Amino acid sequence: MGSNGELLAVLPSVGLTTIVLLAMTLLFSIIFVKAARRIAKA
Amino acid sequence: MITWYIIAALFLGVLAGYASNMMGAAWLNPIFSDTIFNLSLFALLFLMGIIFGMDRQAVSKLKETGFKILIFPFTIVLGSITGGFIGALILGTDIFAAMGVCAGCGWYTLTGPLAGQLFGLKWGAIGFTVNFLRELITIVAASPASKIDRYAPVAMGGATAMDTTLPVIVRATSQDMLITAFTSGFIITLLAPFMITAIATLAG
Repeated sequence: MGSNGELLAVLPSVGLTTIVLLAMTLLFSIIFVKAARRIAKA
Repeated sequence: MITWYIIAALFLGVLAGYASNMMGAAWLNPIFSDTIFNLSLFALLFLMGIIFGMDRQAVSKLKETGFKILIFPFTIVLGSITGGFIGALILGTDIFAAMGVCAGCGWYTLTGPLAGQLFGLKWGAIGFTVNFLRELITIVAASPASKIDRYAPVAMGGATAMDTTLPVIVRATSQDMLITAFTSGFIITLLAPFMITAIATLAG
């Protein structure tokens, strides 16, 4: 990651969108899996 | 305790990579990011296989789970896309691009270039960072997430649950999670490119 100049350069410009999308993606993935477990009783 | 070791190892790795570039040793990058990375990944997966093979109850646990195992990858993809939809509504941005980026489920080497082609350069960068950080957060937070739900680290890992985050997921949960995580990651890896392309087609 530290050696990836492109990634380091792009981080500040996409910051807020990335943080919100990442948080929502993780949150809903976990919520959906929890719901699926209840339905399937796994 | 293991979480702190993971964070420390990651932080030191970032510093080492940055220092390598600063000292003009960029030629080392492909050796580390391709050769050594792949070799250590194969070694980790081999060790995971040994641990699974040694567990006498693993096969019976797998039989108990049965086809239910297939529910998880589909719900993880659906959850990720829903997350993108809600995120886009909060930000007031392009809904289809956000859903497409989130459908990558952690596969940043695919999502970055593909989202760049389908939704534009800005979304390519967002696709890369969202999915790269998803893998990173899974590595760091798998252990605390497993306290919320046993399957939460698998959901967080998405496509990476079959390779890079698999050892961390197994460590944070239990050995019998190995096959579930691997199967989930494998199916998501098959689904991700189709989902991103399908969402881009819907966007017109």
